[in-house]
Amino acid sequence: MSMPPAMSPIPVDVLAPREVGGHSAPTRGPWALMWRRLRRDKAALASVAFIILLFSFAAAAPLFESWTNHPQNTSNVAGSDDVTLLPVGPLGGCDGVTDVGKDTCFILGASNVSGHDMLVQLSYGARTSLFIGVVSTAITVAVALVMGLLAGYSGGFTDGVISRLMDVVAAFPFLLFAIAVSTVFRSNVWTVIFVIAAFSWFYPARLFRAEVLSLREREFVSAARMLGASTPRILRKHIFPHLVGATVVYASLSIAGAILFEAALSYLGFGLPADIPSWGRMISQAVPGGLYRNAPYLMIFPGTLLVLTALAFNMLGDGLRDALDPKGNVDR
Amino acid sequence: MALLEVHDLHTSFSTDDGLVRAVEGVSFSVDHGRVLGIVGESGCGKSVSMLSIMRLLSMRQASTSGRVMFDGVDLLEASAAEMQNLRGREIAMIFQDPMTSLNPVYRIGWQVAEAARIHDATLSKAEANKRAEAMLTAVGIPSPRERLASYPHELSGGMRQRVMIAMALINNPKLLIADEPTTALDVTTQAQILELIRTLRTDLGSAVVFITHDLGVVAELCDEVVVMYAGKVVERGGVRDVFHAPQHPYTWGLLGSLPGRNLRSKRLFSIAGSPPSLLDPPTGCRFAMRCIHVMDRCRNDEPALVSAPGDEHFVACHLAPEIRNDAANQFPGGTA
Repeated sequence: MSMPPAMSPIPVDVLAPREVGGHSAPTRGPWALMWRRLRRDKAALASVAFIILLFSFAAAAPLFESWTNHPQNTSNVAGSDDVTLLPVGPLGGCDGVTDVGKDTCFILGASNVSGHDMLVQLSYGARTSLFIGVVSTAITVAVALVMGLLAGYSGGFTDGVISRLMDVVAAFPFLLFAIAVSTVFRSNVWTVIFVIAAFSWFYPARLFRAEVLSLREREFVSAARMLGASTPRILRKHIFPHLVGATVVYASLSIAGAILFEAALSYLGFGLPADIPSWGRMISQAVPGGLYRNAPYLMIFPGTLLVLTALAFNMLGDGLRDALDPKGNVDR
Repeated sequence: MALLEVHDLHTSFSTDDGLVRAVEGVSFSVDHGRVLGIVGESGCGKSVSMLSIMRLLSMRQASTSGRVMFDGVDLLEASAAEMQNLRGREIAMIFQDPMTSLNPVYRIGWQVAEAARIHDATLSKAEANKRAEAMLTAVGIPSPRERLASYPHELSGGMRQRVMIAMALINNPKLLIADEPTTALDVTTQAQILELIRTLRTDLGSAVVFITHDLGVVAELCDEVVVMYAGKVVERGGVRDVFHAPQHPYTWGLLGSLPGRNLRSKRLFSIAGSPPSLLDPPTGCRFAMRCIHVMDRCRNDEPALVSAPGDEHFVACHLAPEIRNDAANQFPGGTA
């Protein structure tokens, strides 16, 4: 803390400005600020914890398989060829946890329709859900960024074409198209991802376009042009960074949406083929004959996981939105 | 030949209401180491002329004609790639509002270094940073090394304007265009920034075009001055000639409305009326409807720039030279 030798305000020596004290407030970048706020958001932190657990649960699928000795996609219930097979309840066939590993022991029960072990199916189903959620969101956001940047920055004819395309996609009957695709093509993980991405990019693209429209009029963009920056450079280095916040928030919400949509499609029977584990189909297997009345666990386990997963991604998205809001109160 | 020669520059914007002729037939020139001031009230085409010269106006709405010779190149004929290469390297510009001209998501150091890296892809990050630091020192930013890591919101308006000047000057441009660089700053900071521009002009020998509506600044800083009104040049000349012997009634009005000349007079003088719409400008002299010396001829004939007393001093007015000189004698030198 060095004090200026003289305090005479006039004349000011421009090229030798006085050193004024030390700067006590530390410099904080946008990410540091975001993390600082997110750390205080209990709901968002709980969501992060749940999401980490969920990824671990999905990653551990082969471990569950060998632990229970029930390979996925094989019927493990005795006499499964019998159509009138009954579901096995939680801890069915087990006398205690030590029995795990025996063919007849099912910790979370087993489905009557396929004879699959619930625990193993849930964990492989988590893989499916997370993969579809993350990959379809990545594609959606990438397409939306390109479209939004192009439409917003170039304006005129390009903007007109892209904006009308967004209107058309928005007006398209999404579910009907998804059902049609799954009947025409043999549906697999990629057709589901394609359908989700093809019909969700327009929404974030509109957000990004609107954002770019206002960003391109900001003076720092003119300043960059004045310095001789090319259009690609301006888009990449001066406009895109301002969209990162919106992208992160939207991606989080979008993962939840995609997971729910895949579950809905699979529930309706138009989603993934029978050999790919899916929470949606697990729920649907509890429906025929009102089975859920006698064996509610068939619906409760996958249903709860689905709800919690969607909730966690949504709450994380909300938390991120608050944390990235420049008008947000740091000391909330 | 001067560094920048602008001949008969016209810029118009097509709007839903019709063609707005923002700049009509503007000519001036600046040479190395000289400062040209452009004065005039808001909307008279000062900024638009500069943006036209730098070709920073959207081509969709604006159309520009005339000749802008910069160092032997006609800027209005140059390709987009040539212009991109000239901007920031040979011609740089400082904007009015330093609060919004810096990108809020990047550190100061990155932004100043980028100005250099845009034009020199071979420049390493470390070298660019070193140059950025040297530049911040040159524009008088205290503890430049620490400031490189600051974000724009952590700096005051004056500091940000210094950063903008550092960015504009990092490639040693031959021409610096300053578009009201002190308007958004308080008076003490203004003085520092003006002093800085003056020093840089002498040290680097760059030409400076200084846009302002502050006549005091013009008197202090500029060598030549162009007075614009409603898209046209009404008077042009050396700063002493224009301030000591102003020839155009609009210039009289501008000088007369300066405060401080006579502290005992109760009210500030102001020119009655407001500038004409550029959508449908009047025929004849555009200042006619506000001019106290207006004659019939003024409403029909457009006055051309004619020589006035002094060196390279021109005025666009129909008044007889004797009347103009009589009126000019009432200005004992403005604030100069």
